[in-house]
Amino acid sequence: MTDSVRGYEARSDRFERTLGCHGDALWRLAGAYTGEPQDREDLYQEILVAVWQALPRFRGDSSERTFVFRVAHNRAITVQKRSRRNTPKEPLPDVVDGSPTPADDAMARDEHDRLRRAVHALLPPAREVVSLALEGLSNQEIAEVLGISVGNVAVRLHRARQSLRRALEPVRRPDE
Amino acid sequence: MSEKEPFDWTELQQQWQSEEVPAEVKAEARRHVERDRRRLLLEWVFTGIVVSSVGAWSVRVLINDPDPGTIVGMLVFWTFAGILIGAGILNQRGLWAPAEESTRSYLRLSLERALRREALSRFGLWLMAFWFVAAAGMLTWSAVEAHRSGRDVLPMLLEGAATLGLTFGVLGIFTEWSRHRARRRAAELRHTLRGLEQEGADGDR
Repeated sequence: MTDSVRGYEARSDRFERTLGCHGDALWRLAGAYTGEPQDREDLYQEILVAVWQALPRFRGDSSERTFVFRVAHNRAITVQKRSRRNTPKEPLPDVVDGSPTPADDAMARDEHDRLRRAVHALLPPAREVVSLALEGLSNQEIAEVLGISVGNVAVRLHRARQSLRRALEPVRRPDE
Repeated sequence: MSEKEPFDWTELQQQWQSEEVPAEVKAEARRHVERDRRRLLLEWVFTGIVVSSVGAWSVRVLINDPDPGTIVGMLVFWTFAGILIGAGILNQRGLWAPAEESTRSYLRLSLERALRREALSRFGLWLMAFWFVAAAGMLTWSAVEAHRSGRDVLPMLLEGAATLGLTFGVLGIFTEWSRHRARRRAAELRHTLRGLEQEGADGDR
């Protein structure tokens, strides 16, 4: 029992350190997978619980960052499957739609939110690699997180960047 | 970012990474994790209390009533408890955590859980069928005995048949429904896994 308590305390310390290092990145990752702010907060909480539960399984085979992102990614996929309503059916039209609502206008003023929405609107394979690449992970690290080959990452990332570029380009009006 | 500007990936990365988690969200998330930690601690404490209580009860019963019947009864109780706990642990073997932290591994784990659940439900149905036959046999035997001693058999038979039918009917329907759900879930997971493996193979080409 003493060992369990000691292990529990060590795990708590480790969790706090992990949260300090990767907490913001996990928040951004949650943003890439969700459309609504409340869903984002819920997913962030679920990711933290998943990280807390997974920490004892970390054996140092990979970097801590790769491990944490892998856990977060898997949890995000699971949660997404649970609530399909957050997944856009089409890849980009929401972002390049020429007739934004007033609420959309207000949201678009925030550059962070604009980028996040553009990433969220990508198709899942593209979104997965882009959200990790934007965090500064190398192709090798992304491949480890997603469990795919480096070549596959490169192909996905190339396509994803093109989609993202189109999504972030301002909408041209016909008279321009 | 105007249209004439080049698509600057580094700039996008900086913009992306500059977003921080709001303090109130962080605090709420910590509280959420803390609740999960407390639940874990409570589970430990609860398990400890249950095991200690049952152990203390067994010792007390043996001290108060140390006749061979009680000892045999206690042995039977602990043997069955041991078998049940052992079977539960064996059935959960390899199902606690994924082999590795990957989507495929999680899907395989879910598939294995669904298959075990289906097997368990099937076993439950067979066990129920066995007990149903045994109980029906005992009922028939009791009815024959009652008839021989000149008692009215019909009320006893009706009551027994209704109890058996209701109990095994409800349990049977629930178990079959669980088995059906587990089978459907396994089929879905197999389909998703095949899709994922296909996607990986296509990407590697």
